[in-house]
Amino acid sequence: MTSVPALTRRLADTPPDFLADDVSVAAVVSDTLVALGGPPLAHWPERDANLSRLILVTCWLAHGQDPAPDRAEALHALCTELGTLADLVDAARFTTDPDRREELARLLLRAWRTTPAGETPAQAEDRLSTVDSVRRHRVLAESRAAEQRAEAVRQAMADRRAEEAAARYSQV
Amino acid sequence: MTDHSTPEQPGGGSPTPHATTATGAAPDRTAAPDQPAAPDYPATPDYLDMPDYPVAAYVPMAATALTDQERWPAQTPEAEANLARLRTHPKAPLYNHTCGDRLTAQAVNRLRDYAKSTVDANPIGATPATPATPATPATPATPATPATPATPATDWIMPLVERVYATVPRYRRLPVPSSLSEVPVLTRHDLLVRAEQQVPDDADLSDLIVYRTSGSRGRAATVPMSPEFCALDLPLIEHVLGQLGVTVAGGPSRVSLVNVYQQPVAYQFASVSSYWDGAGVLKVNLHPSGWRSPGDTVGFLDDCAPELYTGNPISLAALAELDLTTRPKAVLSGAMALDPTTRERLAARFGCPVIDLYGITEAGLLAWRTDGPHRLLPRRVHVEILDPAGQPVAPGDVGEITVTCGENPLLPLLRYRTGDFAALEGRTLTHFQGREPVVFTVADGRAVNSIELTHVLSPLGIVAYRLHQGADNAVSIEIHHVGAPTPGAVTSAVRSLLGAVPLIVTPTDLSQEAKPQRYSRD
Repeated sequence: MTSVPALTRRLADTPPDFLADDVSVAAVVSDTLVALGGPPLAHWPERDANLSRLILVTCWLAHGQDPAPDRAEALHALCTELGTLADLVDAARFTTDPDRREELARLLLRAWRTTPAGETPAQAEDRLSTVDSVRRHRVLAESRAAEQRAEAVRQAMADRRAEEAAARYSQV
Repeated sequence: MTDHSTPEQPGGGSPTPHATTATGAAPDRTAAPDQPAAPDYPATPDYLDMPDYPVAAYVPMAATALTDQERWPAQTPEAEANLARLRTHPKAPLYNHTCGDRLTAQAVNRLRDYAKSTVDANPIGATPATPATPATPATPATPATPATPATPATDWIMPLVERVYATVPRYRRLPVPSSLSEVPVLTRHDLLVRAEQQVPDDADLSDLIVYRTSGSRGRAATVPMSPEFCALDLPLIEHVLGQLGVTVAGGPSRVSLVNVYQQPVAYQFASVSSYWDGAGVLKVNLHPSGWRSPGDTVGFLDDCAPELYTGNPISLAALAELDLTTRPKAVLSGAMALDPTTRERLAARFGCPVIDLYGITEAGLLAWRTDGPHRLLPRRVHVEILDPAGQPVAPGDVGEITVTCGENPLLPLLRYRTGDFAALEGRTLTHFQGREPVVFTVADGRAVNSIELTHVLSPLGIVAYRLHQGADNAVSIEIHHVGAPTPGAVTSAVRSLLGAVPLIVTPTDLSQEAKPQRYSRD
């Protein structure tokens, strides 16, 4: 069993090199996949700088954990899914901010289908939802859109064109 | 309680609490640049200077905002000529508003398709038993025997529920139910507080119109709808008429419908209906204040010779007092209960079928009757009868009429409590009571339901009344003065049920109220 505190401690200890811009991301990812028991990286397209740093931090987090081929495969998949998160949060915060450290730790455990030590799957899902930056951003965006729509409806209902209405044919 | 303080809706609906011109200032005619010049509107401009115009929103033409092209997108030259004739008629009422049908040609086609696929095809809408009546029938048409009610299809309900839960803000975060019975009931208060929460995210707001409910069940609520949903009345009215062997001819050389009101002040306008091929549709206030000369009312209405009159028991009673020589094909009453005796009097007076319509602004027309119970209209409306806790009552028991309907694209309703009460038997509403029943106390202490009072008062043919019982059991009853029975007859009827309670009967003018509430008590 892997505990969230153990992973967040590891993130707090992330070496500065993993946040540097001159690191070969492909080499680090490939080495991590092999260390987890998977095949080396065959292809690695160029990525945005912040996303690259987030992938490096994620590899640091995964490195040294119990190896398993499916973990390597899941890590590879996770690295390809971090773009939205990297668009919202500076990668360095996943090493300095406790909530962001917990978020990345829980994202990795979920990718590995591993329930954190001392938690039930439901508790783990609930706690991830409380620190999930992408989800929070989506909820806020939906909330803003909903309020804008509500305002548009209110304005349409108060508009003189709506008030003029149309002829009615019966009385109800 | 009815909201007494608010003017009615421009389009001809119920009162609106929002004065479009709160200041009462002269209207900005630039808002509708293609409106006809002054001669097209009788009594302009001194009409606009009427010094004591009682309600700001009724300042003539102040509530208009569209061009004629926008009011009648599908208007033909013949319809335009018909409209001009009605607008410039020398005996026309003092028009103070203008209002179109706002139906595009596509919308008209959809309504006609709706009539064919939903209304005409429904087994309840059986082939008329009698041929169409002439425009001036000598005797009332005999109502056709209703066809055996069929169980309506309900396969549209769950797709509607799923659509509403996916697109309507009020439901967005709720778990999607697996059946309609799991859907929470929706009350008028829910609509009143945040109507915008009921408008789907994907609904087109560009053609939204609003009406206010009458406020007869509490504060008035604002109801958004599309012009097409508003015009759904037309195929539904045609369906009802078809049951009675009546057809609407329409066409740009006649007036098909006059919607009559009887209020100290009300919107009046001339319009034409694209659905009825340019036929005239008028909203007219019979009150003397709405006309330039006392004789104009009869002259104008006889000249229009409408195929149909619509109104409420009070305005239709006023219409019946006029010395009209023309006869409509049918008269349709709504807004408040029409007693059988009053209906028979109106039928004898006009020599045509008189139909009692039941509907609510939020859902449109729902049911109709002549001499039997209310028959549900063949619409995609699912009706449940619920108890106060929101549970279905036993079959045949009286409860609150609750409707599910997705036909208004701007206000889909799931399990909406109408505030009206009845029992559902097949496709008919029996023991219909309108508002929530009121329990009265008999002189000997027994309790009786307001429906029993309706039974004893109905034969008297009172057009409208308000009966109140105080905490001391004393009863006061106000009866609309037009065609009223003697106070002695009312006293006898009430005391036949309530015994020797203190009783005061007052003939009065109830026409100022949108929907006089019949029963109340301390």
